[in-house]
Amino acid sequence: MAPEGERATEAAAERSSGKPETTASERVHAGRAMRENDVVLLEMNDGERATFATLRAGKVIDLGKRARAPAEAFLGAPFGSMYEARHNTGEVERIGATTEVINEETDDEEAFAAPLADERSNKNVPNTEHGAQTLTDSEIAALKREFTGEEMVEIIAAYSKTFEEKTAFAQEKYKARKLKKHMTKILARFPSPRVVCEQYFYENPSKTSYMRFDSLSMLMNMANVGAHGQTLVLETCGGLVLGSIMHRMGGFGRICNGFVGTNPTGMEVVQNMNFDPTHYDSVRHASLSGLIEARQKGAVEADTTRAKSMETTEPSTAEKKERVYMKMKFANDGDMSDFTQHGFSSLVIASLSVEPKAVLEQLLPLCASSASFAVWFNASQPLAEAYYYLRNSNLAVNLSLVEPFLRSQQVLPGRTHPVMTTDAGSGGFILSGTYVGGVNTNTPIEANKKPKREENS
Amino acid sequence: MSHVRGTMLYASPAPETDRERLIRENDLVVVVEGFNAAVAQRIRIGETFVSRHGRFPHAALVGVAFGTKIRASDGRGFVHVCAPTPELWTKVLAHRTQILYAPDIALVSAEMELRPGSTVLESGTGSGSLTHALARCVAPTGKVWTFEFNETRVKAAEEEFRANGIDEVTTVTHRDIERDGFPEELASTADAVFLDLPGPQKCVASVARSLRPNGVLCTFSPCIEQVHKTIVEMKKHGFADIKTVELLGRHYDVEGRCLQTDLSAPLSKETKGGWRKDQKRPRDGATEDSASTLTETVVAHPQQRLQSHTAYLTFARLIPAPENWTETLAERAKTSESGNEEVLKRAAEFLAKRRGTKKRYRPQSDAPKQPSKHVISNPDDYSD
Ligand SMILES: C[S@@+](CC[C@H](N)C(=O)[O-])C[C@H]1O[C@@H](n2cnc3c(N)ncnc32)[C@H](O)[C@@H]1O
Repeated sequence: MAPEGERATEAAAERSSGKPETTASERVHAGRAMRENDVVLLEMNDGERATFATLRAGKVIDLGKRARAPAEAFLGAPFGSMYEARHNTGEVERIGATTEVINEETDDEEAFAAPLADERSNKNVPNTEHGAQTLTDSEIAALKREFTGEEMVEIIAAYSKTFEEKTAFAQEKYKARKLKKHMTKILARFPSPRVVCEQYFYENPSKTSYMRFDSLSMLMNMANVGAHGQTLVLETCGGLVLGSIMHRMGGFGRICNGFVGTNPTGMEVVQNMNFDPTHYDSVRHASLSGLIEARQKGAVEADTTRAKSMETTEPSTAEKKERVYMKMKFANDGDMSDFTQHGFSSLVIASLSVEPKAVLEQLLPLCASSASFAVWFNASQPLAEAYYYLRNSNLAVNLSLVEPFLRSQQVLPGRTHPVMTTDAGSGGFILSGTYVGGVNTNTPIEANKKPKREENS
Repeated sequence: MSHVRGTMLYASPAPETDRERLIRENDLVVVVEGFNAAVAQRIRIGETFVSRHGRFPHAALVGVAFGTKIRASDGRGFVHVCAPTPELWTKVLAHRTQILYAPDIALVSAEMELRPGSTVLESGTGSGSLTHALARCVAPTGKVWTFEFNETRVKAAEEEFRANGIDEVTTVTHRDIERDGFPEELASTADAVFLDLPGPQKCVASVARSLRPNGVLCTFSPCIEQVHKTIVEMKKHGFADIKTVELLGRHYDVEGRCLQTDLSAPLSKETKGGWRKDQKRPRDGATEDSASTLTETVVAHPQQRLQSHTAYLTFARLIPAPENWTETLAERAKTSESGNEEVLKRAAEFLAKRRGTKKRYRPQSDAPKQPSKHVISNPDDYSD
């Protein structure tokens, strides 16, 4: 993915400057055609392998397994199109979803082969009488990574104990079924946040701090990220969280990408999401210390010119190379006063490098009263400490600390069970709540006596 | 520009000029008692919210900022008055049916790849818990079409959507979706469809007509049998990329516990409980009291009450078929040559390497005749 990713970066940089404005309905990707310079995630055989590719005329994309395709094979077709790699030519051909009669699988010998990833449980193979296939599921899966559909059909037939005994008609039916199951299919996915998050999670998780998709989705919802909000984000997940917010807000409202130190860094992932200029226009970079300072000053005098010194640090040449953030503007005086006087409606924090309690202590005051916030971390303790602090200092209500527990289910006739996988670890923890520290306690005028006693909960 | 507002959605079509939006009559506020118990209140001058924390006349809430801590008029306690959000609404809404909760709602919204401008169809509307979150995702330029066959629920939902200000982007319609499918007028308009119905499998054909290419169908079914039937239908109607997941939100309680470190002293009043947090938090403005001399450990422990299953969420994508495409699998299988020695040899070598044995490839013809189907072979044969 790395070299491909780099190329994607360049293409995306070129793109954002030159593309015409898109209409609201065009922003929605479903049914949208793949266009020149779009990024597409080419996923082979339900996730067996996947790569990002930038579609540029004349470019040949290597899909692995000796399959290659020129970008033209994809251009013009809608995102979500399916392709088959034919081994005899190495080229891809667009196909539809193969209609499948699932009942046929019940008499499928493979259905009773040794279950995947747990070869110790051979004793429990339901009925070895049906075990006509001498290859295990995991062997078949491994072979599939090396051989194309038609080759797989031959191999599977050769290792079947019963294939030779079948009638010619039955052999044909058997081969058709196997071909459908094992042909090399390529799905051209639109790089939505969910698709991009999963791709990094499985292929290059350190880049996105092991952010899992269910956690990312909860961050968006618990922080109430939506169009026309004003969102402050602090993330070190490669731009995945920022991109997810851009997607949710659709270019409506404002996003402040708050950075630690002097310059924004690490936002390459945003490049892979096919955003149009309106999305980039809704983002402003601002140094967090600059924001904090501007707010403190703003409280005394509405003059924000002094904040300027904080935001105009010249990016170094090395950082200039990272094209993404150049596509988004730094906050100017007007933005800074908007942010600080008005306050943020949502705060999202996703970084394993900063201390949640300290960060919340400093950033919550930048929020409007009653703003929603959500913080992700991969360990519970720092979030528990932050939770305890916020509750005891009356800074937040509706506090919740949640660990999403996600389990995939294999659904097949007679073989339904949770997917056996070693990727079932934790997706991290999410602390969320409503900020209430921005306003003073209000005593109703109707209060006819002084409060005697106050209960905190 | 952006607005921080006291409305359910920031993206309401009427531009808000009052940037310091304060609570007004008819606003929906979420009253938070203590730290987590929430109740919805529609502000009506003359009404009073009464709880164990005291009396809170609505008139006293008008003109204060959202998030303000309000003392009871009888001085007993306080509450916070928060601006509504879809997540808070899910906590406070009137249950007319089973509802979806925050973790499932979050996953569904994101898996359906919703964004401003998307069109989404939902059935049944139920209590509208999911609908509010869907509206937030697609506003201001998208649309939620939600269908419910229970007329009373349709009426109730309609009123709530209007009162909560999501009606600009949400339309609820009385319709039996399992029997009649989605309206033909919506054919090929939907970016996503969500089904929380007893028989989702009956609707798949109609969903396939309603979705745009690459659209996502999500079904929410408590029983695996429903999932099974639905997947069969999905595969028949051009869906692929099918997956089924369960998501649970494991909620943690956070407490400061008094844990004794001195093994010679008897357990004190504070430490004996072991479980309860006995230390009083310092009150607002009050100075720390003597209890704070005890060592306090902040712990997060999973709540004892955990919902162990909500439903299976199944996601599938409608694959756009190329024009005039027909399946040719059967023909290809007929014409495919078999016994390609080169391929079989490579496969055998690959397998031998993987199994780590010295087993060599034997051409099929030389292989011993397979035992009869009725002989039970040794299961361990699989793992050689
Ligand atoms: C479990 S509830 C949905 C809850 C909803 N997802 C929420 O979060 O509030 C299921 C709803 O589907 C409705 N329903 C059942 N069968 C239906 C049908 N054939 N057409 C339309 N609605 C139906 C029921 O009346 C019920 O209100």
